[in-house]
Amino acid sequence: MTDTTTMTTATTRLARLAIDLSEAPADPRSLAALVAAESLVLPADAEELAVAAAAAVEDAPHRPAADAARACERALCARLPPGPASSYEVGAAADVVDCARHAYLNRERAAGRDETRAGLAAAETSALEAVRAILPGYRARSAAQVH
Amino acid sequence: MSRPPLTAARELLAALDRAGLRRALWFLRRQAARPNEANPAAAQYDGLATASSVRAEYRRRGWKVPPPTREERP
Repeated sequence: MTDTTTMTTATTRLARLAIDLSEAPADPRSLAALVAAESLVLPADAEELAVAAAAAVEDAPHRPAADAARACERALCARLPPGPASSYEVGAAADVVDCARHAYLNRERAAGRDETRAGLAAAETSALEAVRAILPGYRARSAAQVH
Repeated sequence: MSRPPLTAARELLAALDRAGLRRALWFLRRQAARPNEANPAAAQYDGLATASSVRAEYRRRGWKVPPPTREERP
């Protein structure tokens, strides 16, 4: 049966991707913002949910979690009138790539290994591919993200 | 020596708790990004606070300052 109460947008999909890549449980405030962004009818307190999601970015325990929380905040902000949603899409895509990069660095440090340029490039490339599946034609915002 | 009295703007920010400051920052940033949007929640800070004054209040309290947005960066 088709779910008629929720919807997905490019930013909500990017936010879900960022949560997956962050390798950490999402903050409940970020999840609440994301659920609101995915709801067909925006809740009346959507702006307050976005404020709480912004607080989750500040409280994030590490960079990948902060990137994922920021993507969730953007997903909701993209739904808030008057838009435009496109600027939030690009921002959320950048958050996903940042998230992949920081998750890779965290993983290597946790394992006591030195990060390598090739490893970082591989993490970014796979994240960019996943982002382009959602946002075709997305180009990383700086040369530092392109290897 | 007594401290000089706080200005209305400074008084407003000084009275806010962490959640209040975060809320002010969020609405002020949104208002700055969309100057033509009528937002009652942001209007309460009109002429009293800006995103940079809220960030200054964070700094004054010794809190980690939220990074500037792309628009706020010089």
